[in-house]
Amino acid sequence: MSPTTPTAIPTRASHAGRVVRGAERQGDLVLGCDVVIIGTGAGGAIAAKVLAERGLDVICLEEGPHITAREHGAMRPSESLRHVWRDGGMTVAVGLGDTPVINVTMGKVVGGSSMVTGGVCLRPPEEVVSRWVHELGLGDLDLSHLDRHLSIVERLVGVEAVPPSMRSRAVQRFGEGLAKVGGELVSLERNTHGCQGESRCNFGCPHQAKLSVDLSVLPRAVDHGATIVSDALVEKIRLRGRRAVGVEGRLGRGHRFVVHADTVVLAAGAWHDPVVLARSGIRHPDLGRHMTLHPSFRMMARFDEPVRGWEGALQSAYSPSFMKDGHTMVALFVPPGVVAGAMPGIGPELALRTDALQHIAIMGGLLHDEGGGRVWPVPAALGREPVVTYRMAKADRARLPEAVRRMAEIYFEAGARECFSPVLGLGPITPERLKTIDFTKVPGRRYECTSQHPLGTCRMGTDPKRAVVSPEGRVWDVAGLWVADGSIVPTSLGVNPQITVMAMAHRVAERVADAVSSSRSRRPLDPAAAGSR
Amino acid sequence: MAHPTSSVTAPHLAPSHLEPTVYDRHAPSWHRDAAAVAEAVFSKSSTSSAEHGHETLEPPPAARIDWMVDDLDHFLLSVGGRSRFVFRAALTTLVTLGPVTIGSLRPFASLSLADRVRALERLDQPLAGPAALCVFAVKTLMSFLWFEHPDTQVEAGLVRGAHR
Repeated sequence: MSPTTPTAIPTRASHAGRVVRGAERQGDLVLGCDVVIIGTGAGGAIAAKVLAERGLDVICLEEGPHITAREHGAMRPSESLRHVWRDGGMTVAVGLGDTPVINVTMGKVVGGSSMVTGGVCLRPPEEVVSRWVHELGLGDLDLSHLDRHLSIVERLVGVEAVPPSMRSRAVQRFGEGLAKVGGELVSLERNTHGCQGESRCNFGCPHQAKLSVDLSVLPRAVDHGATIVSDALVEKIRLRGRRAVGVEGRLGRGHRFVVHADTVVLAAGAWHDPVVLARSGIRHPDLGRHMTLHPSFRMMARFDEPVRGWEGALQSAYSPSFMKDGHTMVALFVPPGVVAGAMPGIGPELALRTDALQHIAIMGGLLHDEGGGRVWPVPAALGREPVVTYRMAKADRARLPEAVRRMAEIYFEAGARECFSPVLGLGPITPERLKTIDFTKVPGRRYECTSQHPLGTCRMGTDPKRAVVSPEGRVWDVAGLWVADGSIVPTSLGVNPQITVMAMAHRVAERVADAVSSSRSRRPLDPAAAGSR
Repeated sequence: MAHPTSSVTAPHLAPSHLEPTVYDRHAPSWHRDAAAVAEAVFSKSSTSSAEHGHETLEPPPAARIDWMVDDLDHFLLSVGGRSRFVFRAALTTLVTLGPVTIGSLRPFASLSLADRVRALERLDQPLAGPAALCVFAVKTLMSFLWFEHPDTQVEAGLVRGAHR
């Protein structure tokens, strides 16, 4: 099939309102619609729902497979990792300078990264939004405007506060330590309903209690006629002059597909949006730059009593008390195998530690970073995955040792016997040993660092020379091309971004709908354009 | 090295449409290296021997190692080529440099269990530089799978109590 000579454009009735597994498709595929959305995560799903409800013919393309919530909940955690997470959870950003290698986790499945989050839904902090408004000139993003979008998406995905009864003993000890250093433990808000405390939200809930977008949002889009095609990797956006006219790519088994549409909404995530845009011939000096990651560091502690960190909600509470110092602390738990892998020692020494897994508590420290990440698309011959680098800003690098020390101090205040820091090769830390360790002298490469929040690689702004998309979410100078996911978030948030991404996607989608409606009302006057579909 | 084995395994629970379309298992030498590293990582002190003042190392049950290596194989075939390359590079680093750190030129898999543990411990030190990161990567993924085996879960006290 030549991608430029479509053989068939099915009518809306022939393909609307269903999920098509691209990997099972025999032969090439040519479709047409009003709006094609690239990605089905927090941003893409919200956009699909808004646009389908406005009566538009919507097709969502997802690179990953379609896995139902029931199937996901029945998997072992490592099966989730291999089938639902991108690269088996082994994606990394290469640290430049005195920066750690950062393991960045994302979903690659219908539902995107919302399938692999802990479900945390925190609103953007006021000071962050204030900066957007007053320093970046994004007046339409002030809380009075954003509040409506936040409220809508919060209702949609069922945001609720985690009750204290869902806190494991490990979280309670974290709270006790916090209280002794003047910190506060606050219940997290999450998109759950009927949580039974299985503590495996990011590996598939056995009770489908986490309302990720595959359960809460995409079904509404499908009910209104949207079609989802899984296993469909978009390679490029088709342009005619400076106007988007569709997308093309390949399905799971190598067959080609083309979707003709006058409007394209890009929501492939901050890691891949720059790749799709660059391969489509869109150039901008800031494309792929300014990525923020919220670099995160874990601290584990061993208590005398069993604290069974896996009982209760995976993420039940956090401490905003140190936000002024540039970090947020969150109580969490990860599969015991991951805890064991992060313990010091080999053989008998490791066994000694893993025999005490019931006594281990974990917290994560998340830095409010200034954005030193960059996505580097590679030539198509080398595959699709970009090289991503991250150079930690000096201020962030200075906060890191401070945050790590504080996390250990909190656990010792709570009565921990020893702590296991994120410094590779450091071994167990006792309260006495902590006094002798100078974390500022530890090279960046020795820190074990993760991130779940890549943002900002196509950031929005008022200046076309310094921002990839306009304040409305439209790619500057390309008609019919919009971005509606975490890549447009202009700065680091300091809190989990899921609900912010959804709210911003909701805002963009409303503008897309308005623009399409406006263009449709003009279409009878432009027969040439009407015939181009 | 033979130990009591368990008939209990952790089956693949994922739906069949997610299976790798080509299940091309890795070479036997790769399996041997992975098993040799896993045996060292998950070995324990033998309690009965320790009572007589001769502490020896006890390898984990052979069947569990076989299960884990099979599952690791499946895992790596299910994820992207870049991840597969990174993991195999890390494992190759360990089995190549490991013997050198203890002054041996023998293949890693033919070292005694005690020597394998010693070699990995040396690579896990800060002075080993990037090799320590390789130990961390290999140990983390192997542990992830290891602790999903039902017998390991029971031994580690990970079987859940009543839900709230």
